Amino acid sequence: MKPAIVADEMFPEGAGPYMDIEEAGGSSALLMDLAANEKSVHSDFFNDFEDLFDDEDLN
Amino acid sequence: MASALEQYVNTVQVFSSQGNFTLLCEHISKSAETLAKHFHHLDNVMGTLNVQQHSLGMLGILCVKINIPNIPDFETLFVQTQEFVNLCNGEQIRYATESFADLLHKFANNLIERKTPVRGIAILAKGIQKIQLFPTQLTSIHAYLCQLCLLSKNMKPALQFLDNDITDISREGGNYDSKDFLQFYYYGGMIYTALKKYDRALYFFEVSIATPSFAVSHIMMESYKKYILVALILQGKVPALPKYTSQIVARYIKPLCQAYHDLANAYSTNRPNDLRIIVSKHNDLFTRDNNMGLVKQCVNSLYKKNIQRLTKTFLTLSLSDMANRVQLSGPKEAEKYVLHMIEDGEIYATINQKDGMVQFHDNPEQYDNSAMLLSIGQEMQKCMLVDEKIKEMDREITVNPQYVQKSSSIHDEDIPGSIKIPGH
Amino acid sequence: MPLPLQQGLFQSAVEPMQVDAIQEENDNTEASHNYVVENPTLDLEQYSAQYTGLAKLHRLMFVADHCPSLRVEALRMALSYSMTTYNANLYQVIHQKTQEAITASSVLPDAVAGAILNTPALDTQWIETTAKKAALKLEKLDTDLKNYKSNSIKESIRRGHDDLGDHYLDCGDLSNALKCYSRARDYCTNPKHVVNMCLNVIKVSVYLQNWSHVQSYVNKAEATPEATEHGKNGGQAIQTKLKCAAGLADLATCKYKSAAKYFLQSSFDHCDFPELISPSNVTTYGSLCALATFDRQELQKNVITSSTFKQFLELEPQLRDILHRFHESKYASCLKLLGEIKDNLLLDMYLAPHINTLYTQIRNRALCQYFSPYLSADMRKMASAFNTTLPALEDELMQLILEGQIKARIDSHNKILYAKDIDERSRTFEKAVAMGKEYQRRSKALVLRSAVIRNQIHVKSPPREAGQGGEMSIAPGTASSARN
Repeated sequence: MKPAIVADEMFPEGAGPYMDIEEAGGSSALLMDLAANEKSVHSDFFNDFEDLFDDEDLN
Repeated sequence: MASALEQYVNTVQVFSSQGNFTLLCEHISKSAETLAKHFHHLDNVMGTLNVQQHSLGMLGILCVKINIPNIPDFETLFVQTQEFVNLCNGEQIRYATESFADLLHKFANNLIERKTPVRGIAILAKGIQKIQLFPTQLTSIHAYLCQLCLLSKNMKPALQFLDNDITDISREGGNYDSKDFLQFYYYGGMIYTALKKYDRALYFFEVSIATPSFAVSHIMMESYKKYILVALILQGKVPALPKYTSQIVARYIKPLCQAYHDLANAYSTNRPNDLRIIVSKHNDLFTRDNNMGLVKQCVNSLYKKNIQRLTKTFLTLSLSDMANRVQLSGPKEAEKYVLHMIEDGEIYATINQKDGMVQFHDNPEQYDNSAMLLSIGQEMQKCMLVDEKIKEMDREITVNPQYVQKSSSIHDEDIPGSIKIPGH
Repeated sequence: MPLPLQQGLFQSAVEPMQVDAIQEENDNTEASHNYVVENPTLDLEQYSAQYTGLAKLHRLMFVADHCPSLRVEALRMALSYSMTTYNANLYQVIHQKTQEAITASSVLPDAVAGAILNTPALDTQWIETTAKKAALKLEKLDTDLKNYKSNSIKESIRRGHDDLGDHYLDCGDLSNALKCYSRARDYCTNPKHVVNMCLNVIKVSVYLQNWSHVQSYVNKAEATPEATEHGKNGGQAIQTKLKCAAGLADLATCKYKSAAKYFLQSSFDHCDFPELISPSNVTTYGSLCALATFDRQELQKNVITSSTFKQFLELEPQLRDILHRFHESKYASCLKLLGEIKDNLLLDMYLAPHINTLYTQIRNRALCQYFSPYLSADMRKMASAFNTTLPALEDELMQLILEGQIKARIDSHNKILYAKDIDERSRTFEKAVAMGKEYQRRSKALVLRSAVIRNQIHVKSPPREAGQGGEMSIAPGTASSARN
């Protein structure tokens, strides 16, 4: 039987919610919440770069 | 100068010479308001300080200056910041990494607003080196540097940071955020993509996508889209994501990227016409996402992939046959592709123009020359180094007292302290 | 009763450029199973006589589903047979189908057709009686079992469970049958009982098409000591039955080579279980799977010159012919014969989903074997040997080369196929270098991930309150300003 310990549990500073990071079924309530309210983050992050990968100009 | 400012200078000078930097930081925090009130005089104040000896003091002032809405004289601030970053004392400013980083963030943003991103590249690069404890430590400035490089289409300066595999992250007083992390790997992936280093680009996007998460991040989503496209260009298929990828990706992000999945599915049929149909169907979406260029590269790569399959099965083939099999418009277009691929070293072939025949050859690399052996030797060295590093990390955990305590309280026969390496 | 068939029913030999086409596993659309066999040469009476119980009914219904010309006959046979069981439900289902089939096959209006064409009337009397009888018997068996249990006589309890299972089976209630048979496990007192229990479970699991169950119980039975020894208490019969069940399970789950091996281990003299499959089936399944997956030597040793399989082959002279011609490299006539028996095979419920795959594999094997002795071959000759056109052959060969089944290259200019040795040494180097790179990549990802977790980097839900803060900061408004 493998020990249930994963490396990340060993690093202190706030066990709390971070314990569940690797748990397979973790935070299902959170996910429900997300789905219900469509919470997303970083929606305003900068991504306005023009199309940098268009090769046809070079041809 | 107002007495408040004099006092500031004094405190800075005294604490700096005493080496009392922690106290100095506290004091500077408390003085922020005062400094802001007297912002007209700040340049004078700076003049009385020495950039090397009083780096923290200067940092305090610069932070106030950059936070003023509608900066009156940006050009001066630019020069001051440039000088500061180049000459400041790294040891001192590492007491206030988050402020230093924040200064450079706002600095970069200002340049972006003024549409002169290129001016900030060297400064941010220097800034990173100043607060890094070692070259493989990631800071929040990394992401901004990449952003500037992408905006000014000047990618190379970022490479010295991108090419170093990260082993640790700078906390910056608890301010380092997942956003900085995701942005670094997303922008970094884009830089590598622009330089056509698709392998490394794919890795960067993968890192972004596999970041632990409890919510949908738009950065992650954009990384995912580019991941698919780059994977198709590089490998002709989309590999599975690492096992430790968060459920969020499968549950929420994948369904939001259906167009890209459609594209990947069409690609896997090896039929360029099917692929083109999907491309035009989702044209608007791809264009909105600024991914149309990559999508076009995907289409090209499908032709190339099909041609490569031909090299594995034919010795000779006519150009018109090739065009038919690969669904190109005709022998002329086929010839063009073959020539490009020969030049890029993607296939080994010769074209006989007289009868329109292509002859395919084997890879001339026989793995029997000294250059190759040297290269293999070097790769082995790299593997061994990495292996050492991992063993070291494993050892550290094994002797960590908390770990020992926990593992001994669970009854089992297994050897404690072994890290599960994915895929091994 | 719709029986789930495997996808890929009518996938023709894969198109040349579709090497990597994704094929979806889709086992619930009837549409893909709606193929129709027009010209079978099946003697339905003879066919049906080989089976009993649900095996017979399932097979007849399968034929009815896929063969319009035999539909009515098959359904009639199924209908009358079902009246010898307690399975009132199935009777009704079959009756419904029979009615539909009869009226569909005639041009007369329904009401008239019914009377004229002698549609059997729904025997509601029989249904009621049977249901009552079944209920009564069930009650009795239940009571008996309770009594046995209170008397704690293991052997009786075991038999009680078995009897109950048998009854449920007869009524068509497969899941309860399975439960009862499984419960007998705790009351087995010798290996023979265990094997018996396994065989019962296997039987029901085959009807349920629960192949993993079949596999595991075959293993269980074989692991039971003494029970399957030769010559002891019908050991060989049990052995053969187990092999056939395992073969069937492997066939259904596309493990063709393993299926062939199982079927070939059957003993002809002990092949008597009409509730499972017939000896003729063993021949057919075994031969086709072997043809598709064995190499020349294996085919020679285990099939063609096998003394045990010889008797099976005598049941199916056409298959014997096919095997011989294949072995004698008479590929054109061999493939032609295969084509001729295809229609009948498509009416076999266990084989039908795999026919196209098996045929493609056989054809590919033929192509490979044809070419194997040559350094170079004229593709024109090859095309006529395989009754196909030059372009089509080129496509097929391309496919085989890409899959690694033929080590060759096509000279399309002169239409010659050249054998080609892969340089293993270079390939090994290539693989080693690639492996090294992959190792480095994964390890670096691991180190990075460790840093990420150590520093608690993760995407949080949007904060409801203003951020953290409380850390030392020099400049105003740095910590919690617009960072999220």
